[in-house]
Amino acid sequence: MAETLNALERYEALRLDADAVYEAWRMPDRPRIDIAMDTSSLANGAQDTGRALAGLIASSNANVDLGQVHGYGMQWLHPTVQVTFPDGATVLYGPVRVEDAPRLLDEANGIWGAAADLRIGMIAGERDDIPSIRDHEFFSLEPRERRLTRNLGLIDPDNLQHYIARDGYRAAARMMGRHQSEEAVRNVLNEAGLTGRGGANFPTGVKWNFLFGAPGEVHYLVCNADEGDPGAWVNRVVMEGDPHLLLEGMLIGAFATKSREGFIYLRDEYPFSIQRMEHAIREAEAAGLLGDDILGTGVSFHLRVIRGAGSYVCGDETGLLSSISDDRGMPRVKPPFPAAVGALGKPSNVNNVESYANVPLILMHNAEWYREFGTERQSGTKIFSFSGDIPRVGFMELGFGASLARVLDVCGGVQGGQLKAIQPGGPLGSLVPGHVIEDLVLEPASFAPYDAILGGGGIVFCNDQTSVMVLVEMFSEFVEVESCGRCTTCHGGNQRKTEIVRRIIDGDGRREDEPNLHFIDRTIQFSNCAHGQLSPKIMRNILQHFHDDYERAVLGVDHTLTAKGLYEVVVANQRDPQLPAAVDICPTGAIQGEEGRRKVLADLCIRCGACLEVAPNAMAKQPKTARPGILALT
Amino acid sequence: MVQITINDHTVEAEPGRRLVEVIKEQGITITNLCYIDGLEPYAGCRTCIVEIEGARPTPLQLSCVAQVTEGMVVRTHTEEAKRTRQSVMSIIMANHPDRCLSCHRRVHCMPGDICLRDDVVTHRCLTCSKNYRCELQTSCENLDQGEFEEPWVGEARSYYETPPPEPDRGNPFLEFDPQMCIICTRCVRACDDLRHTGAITLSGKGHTTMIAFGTGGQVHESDCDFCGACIDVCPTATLMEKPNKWVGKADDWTNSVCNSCSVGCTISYGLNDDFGPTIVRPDRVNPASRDQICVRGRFHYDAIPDKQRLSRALVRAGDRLLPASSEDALARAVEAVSAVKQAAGAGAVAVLGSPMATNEESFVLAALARAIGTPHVDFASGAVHRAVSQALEGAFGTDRLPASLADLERSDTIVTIARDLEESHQVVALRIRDAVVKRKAKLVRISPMWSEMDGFSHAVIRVQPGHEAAVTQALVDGAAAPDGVDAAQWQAALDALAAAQADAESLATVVYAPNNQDVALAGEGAKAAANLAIALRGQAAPDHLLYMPTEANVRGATDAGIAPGPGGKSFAEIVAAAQAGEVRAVVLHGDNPLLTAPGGPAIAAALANLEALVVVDEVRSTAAEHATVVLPMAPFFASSGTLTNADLHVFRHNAAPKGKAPSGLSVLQALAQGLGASVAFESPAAVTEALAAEVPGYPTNAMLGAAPGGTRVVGSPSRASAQAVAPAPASPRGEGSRGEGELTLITGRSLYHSWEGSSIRSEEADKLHREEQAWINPRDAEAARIRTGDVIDLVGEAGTVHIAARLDDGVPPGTVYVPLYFDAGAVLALYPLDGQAAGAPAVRLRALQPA
Repeated sequence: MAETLNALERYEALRLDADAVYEAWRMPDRPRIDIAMDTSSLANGAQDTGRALAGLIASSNANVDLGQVHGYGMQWLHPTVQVTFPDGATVLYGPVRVEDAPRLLDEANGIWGAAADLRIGMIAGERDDIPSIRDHEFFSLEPRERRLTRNLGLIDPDNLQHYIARDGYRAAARMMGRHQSEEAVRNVLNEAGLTGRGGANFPTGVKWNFLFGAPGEVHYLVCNADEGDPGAWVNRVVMEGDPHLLLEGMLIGAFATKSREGFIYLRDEYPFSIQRMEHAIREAEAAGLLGDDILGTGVSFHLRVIRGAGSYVCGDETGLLSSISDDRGMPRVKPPFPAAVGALGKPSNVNNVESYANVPLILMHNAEWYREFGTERQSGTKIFSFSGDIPRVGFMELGFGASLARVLDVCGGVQGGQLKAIQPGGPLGSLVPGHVIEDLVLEPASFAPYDAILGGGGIVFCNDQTSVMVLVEMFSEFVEVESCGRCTTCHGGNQRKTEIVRRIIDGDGRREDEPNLHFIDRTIQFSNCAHGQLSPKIMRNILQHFHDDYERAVLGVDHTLTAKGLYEVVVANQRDPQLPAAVDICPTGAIQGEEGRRKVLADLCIRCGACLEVAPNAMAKQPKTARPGILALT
Repeated sequence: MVQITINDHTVEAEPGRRLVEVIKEQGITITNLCYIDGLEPYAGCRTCIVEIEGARPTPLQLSCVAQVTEGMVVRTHTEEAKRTRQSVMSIIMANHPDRCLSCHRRVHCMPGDICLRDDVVTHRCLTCSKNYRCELQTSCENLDQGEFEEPWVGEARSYYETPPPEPDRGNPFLEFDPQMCIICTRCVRACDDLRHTGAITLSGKGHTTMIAFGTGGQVHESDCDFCGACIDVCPTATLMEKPNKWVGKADDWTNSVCNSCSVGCTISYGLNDDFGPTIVRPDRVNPASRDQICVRGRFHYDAIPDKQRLSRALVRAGDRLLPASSEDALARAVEAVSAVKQAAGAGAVAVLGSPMATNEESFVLAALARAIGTPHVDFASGAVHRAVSQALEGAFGTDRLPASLADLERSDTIVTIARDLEESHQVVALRIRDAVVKRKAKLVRISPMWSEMDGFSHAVIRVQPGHEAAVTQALVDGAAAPDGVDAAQWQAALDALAAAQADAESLATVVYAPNNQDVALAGEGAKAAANLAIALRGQAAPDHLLYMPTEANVRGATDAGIAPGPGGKSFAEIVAAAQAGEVRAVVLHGDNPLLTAPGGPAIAAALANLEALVVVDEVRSTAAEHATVVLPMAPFFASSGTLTNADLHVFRHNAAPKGKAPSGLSVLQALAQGLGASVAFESPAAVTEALAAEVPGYPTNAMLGAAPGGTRVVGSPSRASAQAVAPAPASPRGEGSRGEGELTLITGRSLYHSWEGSSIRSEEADKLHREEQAWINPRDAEAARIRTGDVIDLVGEAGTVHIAARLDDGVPPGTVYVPLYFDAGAVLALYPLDGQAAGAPAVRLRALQPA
């Protein structure tokens, strides 16, 4: 009994300190400017803004502090900053560029209104008539109370005490302190209906059961943080916004699967995530929440970040395990499954970042609480990232079953044309026609009728200026290059597929291409891993849903003027003053003729686009005439 | 065993076995281009698809991944399965020059090599050296790939557009042409899992995926040992033997044995009607070597060009050896030996045999000696073998121990007392690696030198040369770490031995390969090895001690009678007697003592001092230069007979005919007849029969025929009396007598040399390591101001060796290593003739040419 009290007591002791620190952070003595520091903000110049603010504060000796938070989700407004006033009111501003820094500092420093036009909403507290950020249209589909993202904007991600003060590690401490059985933990997850968030949707509790029952002393718990799909940054938000949430989830997982060691396989292209996670691990170890004898219970769990080396197939669980085991990063033949032979040849379990991150929340509340959101088939909430031809690029935490059409609305609708296609799930995902958006909800089953998958949470909207053939060429090359080289069907088949697609957009489409693409599709199905099996999916979707576009491309027609072989560059305005610049820049000297009678020699033009860039009014793209030979065949 | 149905036939199969193996055993042809029998499936080629009833998600499943389960119903040749296999194959073909492989007219062209469609010649099988022996080719034919309409006919394939990667032809053994590669990675897995070498890897990804040696450079810059295991498994022309690359199409195969070391790997020679043996494959008869051989076994037949082999007899005329007819030469040889015998008695004639020759040749040579009446019969390293034999007999009552090489890979603890098995007996080293990798066996190495085996060792006891026996005995006694031995390694070795002793169920094996240059040390080492085996396994020790002679047929030569008779002189004594003029005639068969025996200058002087020297050899060796008559004989691989390997297996060796020289057996028989012996054997088999009648334990032809891999000559060790033999006091051999600046010499066989080549100072002798070097510890080198590449003199009492230096901490301070066959055995000049007297010789370094 003494031990029970001990674990919780230790947690309470940590909590006491943490509460004080957090209280002081929430109600600072003087205003504090928190710059949103995450990969998206950094890419948008957060560092410059931060430097400008720091410089100003130093030079004016302003009575203001600087700090950091994670962005709130409105990434089209990055870089954002928050100002927390001594009364605990926190206002979100954005975008705050270097030139806006003085105004913002003034606003924080007491000249209320100096940056009024940059205000987005209130993160906490009330000020004048600034609306709460929760009332912002962009978040109107989110639960009123955020769950996975509950700490964004409200903590410094690099501060363990902030996390603890917001009930962090409470679930883990309670689980260990009350001697909850491993089975009970797994059962709660099963009741809650938590499934794998990487896209495969396998029940997490069941998976943990496999590892728990695996023989041997050494079990490894592995986190798949090799998030590589273009347009997906879900795991990154968790790792950079609330790293301890992942750590706590893994700690609980380690307890429930009898693992004493764990790895976070993190792609090297996320250096900021690596930095945050490694910092968080150090902090947790120092506080006795990771490592040996956690919270005095004798439980030990050691975690390490393993940096990926840039291979897409290492996102496949066996590929990832091979990479961790110092083997060539290629998926292997299953069985044996990871629960039997995983990292370093020992029984292992691999889950997505988000899968682990849900665990402390479920344990802190209960299964019913978790089931409040989501659908019959898929419970809970999930972070989705939205990008493409929309004005509001960002991430939201949505309950499963949210309407995709409504999502597009809050993202500001489609820019630059009509909605043409929706691309969920990255290169191994799908391409769904835009006109079915009203029928789509964010749930795997909803995408199934379109031979499509929802994937890991990245969704890209494409307008009608997108050539689906150019899109599929890009994805096709990607999956070809990223094939691990094991299955001839995959590395050879994707080469053939890419060759055909490339030839079509080069203007040499053939009648037999379509049956051949189907042939390749069928043959690639005999590949070992998901990379191979899913690699022809987008091409298949095009033949299913965008057959007209495909047909036109084969005929040599592309109204988007992006398929390189299907348009020609012409001189649109002989008198345009920029025209000589276009002539000069042409690397092949394709623009010839006397002044006033210049023309582009089609044979020389390589469609590099340089002339269009320097002389946008003088030069223009123009569709090529469709090839009569092909037309006759139809 | 469970019952499964394959193509409507019920078949018994072991549950859990990979289905493809069962299918192939049924004689059903199925494409499987990446599977290696016995290894885990790689499942990369995807061409072994079959239909399995009820399988999910589709009945079409890979038979290499699928495992046998009760009641499984398999169909291999349904329309659907075949078409799917063809589809996959067509994708493989797209990245391979395939104009012939997928041509529907191919059946009309074969075997004409003429393309009726006049297709681009470089895209045709005709221009491929693997034509007609290519697994990819037969796979396409079995699959009727020509009937399959390839979807990419006419497609501008990247294969034909991109410049092919450069083939690597930088070494004399294997060629690597990545252009032909279908990335099945069999070679990678053969190198990793069958050889534990890991010289080959898969590099790149996507369409740049490629096989690479080492870090992507040339093959000879990698860890490759040129064993050729990758060649055996390559389904295309990507990895090919360089010798006879274009003519290695066997019309016939003959089963044979390698005589490069005492493992006795069984090999098959592929015989080409026009060229003789042109290719070598492992023959699985030897239970220890099975499907593996080493660079020597695979390429030894090609070690020197044919023109460097003797084809005509030579007779001395003054200073010169002139060609003569074989009749004249034989008459001259008989006359010369007879003259000495008449003048000075039979005791003035000595007969020197060869530990590389067949049992039959040795048997006839022994008969020849009896006909002359001389007891002075020996071979150069005979004394070393006798010293070991004596020690083993002392311990076990017999030197024919029942320990088996096949037990090595099943061992849990292995102690090797050998300079470097990796170089001297590579396949034994391989089986030790098998045990270490697969069984986590603990390997304790006792050796004066670094070896690749160090990386597989649990403990490495680095000893001063000459201290092997004493240190082994100290290990047996559980003594404290001897001077200069790393204490941690010593403790690890003691722990490993204690663990082996504690677990009586575990298998412990001691491997002893004696130093061939030091008779006394060889005997002492054998005693210590026997004591170690007894300490580990008590009465069962004879089952656990393997004695690995240096040369291939030391056991057989001795058993067949190549040993001093009563009152006979040993090799060293014969040499001394020849120098003194007491022995005046020598018949030398199949060996060059200048290359193997210590005391080179003394031997040369003795040979020069002879009145009559009859040499029967396949090459004009440096010893033959002193001959009165040189009688040519066919090389070992071109003669028939039997051979007795280290663990006393007797293997039949069938000739792979080559050249015009008569077989050694017929030459020796004619010579023996001329000298009065009543030997008249009609064939090697007749000698085998006579040998079996005379030598206890040796098999008759019938026995050999009945059990090609199982005939063993094993004595019955008196296990009840297996007793520790008292070793000689651990005398500090050579120690103390080492003066300031003196180094102890180590020598031994290196992997890449040929006996014949060295014997005639041929450039081909050492195909890979042309510039052999003396290994010197950097500490010594620093003291002597020597850098790698400097030419130095190694100055000993008996001579000087002129050699380039290589700084290498693979030799301990105070020692220097020179490969045995460097410059036709030049290093042996530094050894005294009688190795018993002085132990390992001391040399001084003299820097000649600062780099």
